[in-house]
Amino acid sequence: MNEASDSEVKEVCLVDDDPSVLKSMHYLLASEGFKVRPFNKAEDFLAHAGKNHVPVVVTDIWMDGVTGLEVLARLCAISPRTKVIVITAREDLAARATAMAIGPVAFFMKPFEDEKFIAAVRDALNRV
Amino acid sequence: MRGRCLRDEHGNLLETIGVTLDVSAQKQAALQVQVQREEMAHRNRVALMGEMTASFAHELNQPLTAIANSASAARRFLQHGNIDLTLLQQLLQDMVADSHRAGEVMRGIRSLVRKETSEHAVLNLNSVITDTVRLVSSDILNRESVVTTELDPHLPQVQAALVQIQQVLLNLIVNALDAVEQLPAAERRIVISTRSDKEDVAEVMVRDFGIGLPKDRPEKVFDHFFSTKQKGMGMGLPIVRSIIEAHGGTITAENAPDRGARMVVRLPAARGQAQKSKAAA
Repeated sequence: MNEASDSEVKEVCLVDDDPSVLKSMHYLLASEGFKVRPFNKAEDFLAHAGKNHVPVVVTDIWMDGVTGLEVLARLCAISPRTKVIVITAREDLAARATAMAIGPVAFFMKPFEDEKFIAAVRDALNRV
Repeated sequence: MRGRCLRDEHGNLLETIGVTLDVSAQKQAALQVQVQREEMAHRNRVALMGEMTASFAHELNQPLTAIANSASAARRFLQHGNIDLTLLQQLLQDMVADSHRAGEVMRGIRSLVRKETSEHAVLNLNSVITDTVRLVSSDILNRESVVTTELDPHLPQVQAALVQIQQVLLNLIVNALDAVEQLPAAERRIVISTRSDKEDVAEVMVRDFGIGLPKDRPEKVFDHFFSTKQKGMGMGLPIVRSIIEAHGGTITAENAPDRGARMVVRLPAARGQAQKSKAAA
């Protein structure tokens, strides 16, 4: 059995408009015992975050409609204590600089190393 | 070679007169022009690929990420001893599907950089437009622009070379993105529409809301080496026009009444498609 710790019963939100990536990240975190809530639209996630406590969110940057950068900016207002992990499938220094200025706890290029990703999620939950 | 026979009143052959013209030089010249045209078109495709590298990398990274995550999830479930066979099967199926998706992206890239592109097939232009926009969606997002499509479901199919039509669309989309680049993000709009007002013609229009075309003569954009871009070679649109004309079609450039440019491509419907389109309507 996987090691369940206090951090792993808290919910991790996932936001990605690519259904395959979203599903595979869901399984990856579930395989380590994390409780996961996936969203394929940033708007739906923001609506959820406006009404519920979200300890940690993993969000893509380049999405149709509301982008990950907008998610970061809006979270500052509606849920400033949420820890954010950013993932992206493209090298974009400007987007990376903007994201880091808003202040995510980690930044990953897709495809990412599973060990480091899971460690970052666990670390973010422990910091809540 | 041409010739004729002179005969008497009984039909007996009197003499034969003939002329032989050597046209190999003309044939050779025509072939050379064709080779040069294909060479220029290939260079244009390679240049487009360079501009769109970020989109292609993005399109490839997505399925690769999904494969890596699914494999890692399966390994971890197995390590922890808590996987059921249905879930394992699902993860493996997902990996196969994502591998195929990555393969499709690679095939698309390979076909675009291939030199030989003249293979014709019956194409649904609406599908080609949707696929091409998807291919460059990452660049569109990165430029904070929006591309919308208004596709006529009764558009007749056309007989055309897929890669060449994709090349036409990529050129027109890149030009439109460049044209709106200086506008505020909220105004960077491009509309790609199709229609078939005449049943034997499929029409594609790429419309931007940018600075527009030269007012004195919009058609100038099809001249070789004419460009309004700082880094433009002025080769994209002449190549686009040569491709469309080689398909028996036309392309026109005009300023929209309010603002921006409209590029309108008209291609003849494939044989038998015009009637089908009429019946469907």
